[in-house]
Amino acid sequence: MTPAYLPDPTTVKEAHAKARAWASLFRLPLRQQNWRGMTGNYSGMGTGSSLDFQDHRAYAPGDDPRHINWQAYARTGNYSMKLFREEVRPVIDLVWDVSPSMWFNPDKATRAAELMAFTVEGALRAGTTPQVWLCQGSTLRPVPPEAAVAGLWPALVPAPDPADPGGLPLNRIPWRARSLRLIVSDLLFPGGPQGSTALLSGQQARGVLLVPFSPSEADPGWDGNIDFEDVESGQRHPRRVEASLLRRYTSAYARHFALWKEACQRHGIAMARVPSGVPFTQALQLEALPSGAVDPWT
Amino acid sequence: MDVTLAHPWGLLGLLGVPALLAIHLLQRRAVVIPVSTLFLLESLNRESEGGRRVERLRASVPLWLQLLAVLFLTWLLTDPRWLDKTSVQRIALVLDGSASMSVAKPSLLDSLPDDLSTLARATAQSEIHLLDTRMEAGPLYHGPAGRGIREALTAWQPAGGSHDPLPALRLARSLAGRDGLVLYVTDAETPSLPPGVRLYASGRPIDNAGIAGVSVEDNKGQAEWRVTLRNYSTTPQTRELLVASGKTPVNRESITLPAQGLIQRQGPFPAGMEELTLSLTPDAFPMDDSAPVLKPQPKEVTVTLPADSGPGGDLYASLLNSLPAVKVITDAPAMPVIAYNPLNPAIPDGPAVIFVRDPKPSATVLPGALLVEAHPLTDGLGWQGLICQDSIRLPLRPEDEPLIWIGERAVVFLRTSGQARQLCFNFDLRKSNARRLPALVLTLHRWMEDFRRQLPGSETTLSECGQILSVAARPAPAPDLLTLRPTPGPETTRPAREAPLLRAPAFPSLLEVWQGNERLLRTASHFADIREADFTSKLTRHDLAGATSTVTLQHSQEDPAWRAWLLALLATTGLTWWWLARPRQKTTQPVTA
Repeated sequence: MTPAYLPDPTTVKEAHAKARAWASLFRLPLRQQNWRGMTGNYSGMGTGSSLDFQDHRAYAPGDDPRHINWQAYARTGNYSMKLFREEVRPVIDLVWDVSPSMWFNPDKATRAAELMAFTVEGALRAGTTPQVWLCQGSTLRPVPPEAAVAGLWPALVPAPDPADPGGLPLNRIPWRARSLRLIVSDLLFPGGPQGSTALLSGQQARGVLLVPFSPSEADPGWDGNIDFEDVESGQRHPRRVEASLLRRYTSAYARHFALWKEACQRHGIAMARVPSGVPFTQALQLEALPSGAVDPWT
Repeated sequence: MDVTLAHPWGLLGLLGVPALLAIHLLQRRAVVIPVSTLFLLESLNRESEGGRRVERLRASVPLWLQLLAVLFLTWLLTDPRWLDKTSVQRIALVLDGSASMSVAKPSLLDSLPDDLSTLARATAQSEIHLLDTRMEAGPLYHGPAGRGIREALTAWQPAGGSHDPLPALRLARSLAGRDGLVLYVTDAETPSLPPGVRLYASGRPIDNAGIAGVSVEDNKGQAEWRVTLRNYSTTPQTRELLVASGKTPVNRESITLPAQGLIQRQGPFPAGMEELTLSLTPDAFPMDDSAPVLKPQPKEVTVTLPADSGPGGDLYASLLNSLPAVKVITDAPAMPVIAYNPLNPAIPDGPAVIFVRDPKPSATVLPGALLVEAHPLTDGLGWQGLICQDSIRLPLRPEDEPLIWIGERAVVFLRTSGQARQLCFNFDLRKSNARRLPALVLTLHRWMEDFRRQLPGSETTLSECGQILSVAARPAPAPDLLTLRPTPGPETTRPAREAPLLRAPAFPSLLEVWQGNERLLRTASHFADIREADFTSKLTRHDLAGATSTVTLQHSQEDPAWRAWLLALLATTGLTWWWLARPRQKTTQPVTA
């Protein structure tokens, strides 16, 4: 049964339906790197049978005589071989943060579901089937590819644990080498990016962070006496909000993401914050496209 | 020009300032808001705990706008007006000079000067007239509002009886002018006030019991005093009646007076004593708590009988002897009784009572209707039964003043002879039924009393406080000054010609009037006005509602900028509403770190 705080199945399915169209406008950033894997449409790390010339080397017994460069033999009298680029299907690991803060309000929940659907559809458009993981605090749960594609993943979301300190258990994910490691998370959990960004960029992988957020989180407009209730733990925090506190909050909020962005830049990870409340394509153009978190179809 | 407030109660609007501050100071009830960034809030240091009842005042824009709106509203509610410095507000106060006001005087001193100051502040200049309803002297005070009013009120001593305030109110209206303010200062409801006169009553009901009357009567040659005690309250009252001669108590008695009841006590004068003091236990109204008493000794009027009374001469003697303080003598009377003889028609000048004596036998009864002229001597007397026979008559002169007619004949008339007046009975007393008519004795009694009042001489009387005394001063060469010696009180002098104007003391006391070395009068005055002693209907009511506003409106101009203040009020109210209801700014762009 779908937990009450998750977007309803109709919203998820609508998001997946729209994501197919968005995947024809934007694609996952797979062109900036060579991949390893099964034969596919993207440049691999080794030589292969594509039409893209890669290098020359001296002939060695056992080489395929069809790739001997006969023109070079006519000029030099030595056998040399023509090597071509390998074309492979990239390996994509998707990690979706499904903690309650992702569904903080309907706009943000919709935007999060849209991003998750877009990443799945983007991977399918790249000709690969992604490996999807759901993160609920420290709880990690794999999602069968068919469930991820069909938008049935909400049924697999584990119940939140109020005692869970939150965060993303990236160190427990069996990352695949040379993969595209794409994370959809609002990054709203205590602690900074220490260690997380290194995991995303290790093993010659490429990391991408898509961060949905609600403008009401960035500029909440609180005023007066407020009993704050944490959406994840249910913890109450009474506080009187004045203009000075509001300024300090917005400053802390900006600093939190500035730390993430700085760490991502250090490790070559594309990080993009995607606002809710605006059309999806417009939201991607604001930051995701300039930062290389997504590529346009050209 | 100075500014004044037509409606000072509008200043109550300033209470909105502390109310607003209290509202802003009170901690608002916490609103539960779900957040996804609690870890960020928790990392920020606390400035105020949510559980505190009172928080530090925040100088927010709505607060300042609301405070401004309150100030504008207060300014408009008070209706500020600009005083015209050339305008003078005249206020005439008519103080009820009756004795009951002595009880109301302390509360009057507490409230009236302050109320007058408030009224005076409503104008740039004020002129106040303070009058007494007794109108015996000039105004008690005339000048601006201030300390002089209080001093005049302090010195004012209300002690008169019940009297009509209308003459004083008319004078006050003429002094205040058409637009001036006239206040009638009293202690009870006054239903028949002239239009435009405001009531300022400061009375209060008290349980009063006191002396309502004192008299001294002759009981078989023994002088006996009689006092009437009255309880004016609705509950029984117990008092102690003390009879004293000087400082020596003669008798002491505790008396319980029934509610609104009367009790009389009497007793003989102790041997050798000519004066007493009756006193009751003091209460809030002291004027009727004591009364001095003297043995009355009226002036004696000496009369002579007609020289040749002849048959029936005893008739005149018995008639004159029945009159009090009239003594029949044979020589040098003050008032001769003369029998008119047409054979000797000469009548001496001077006061006299003249009867016609007709020696002829009986004749016919005088025909015609009997007519009694309106005159103090005949007022209320029954002369209608008079029957008299025709007889010789005194010829009527044009200057004579007829009192009673039968047909064409004036049977009783007054004649002026020189400076004196003569009472003439123009019929033979023996040939009429006048002897059996009380009107004859009463007319003679009135005549003698009137003559006695004008007769110089010494007398001792009882009087009521403030009543007109009958004192006849001797003409020159006697001294032209009368010396008044009240006990207690300072000695004063008055011209002898003012003797008819002398009044008994306003407070219970003894008074002696001397002309040179001759004591003309010794009188004991007691308070006996039961209307003034009754406090059951006294009340406090100050009809000053709207008076300040009326005065202000008459002597000021409206604030020319009131429309601007009204617009400012609307603007601040609108801005406050807009500020509180305005949509919060939403960030559509991502926060760029």
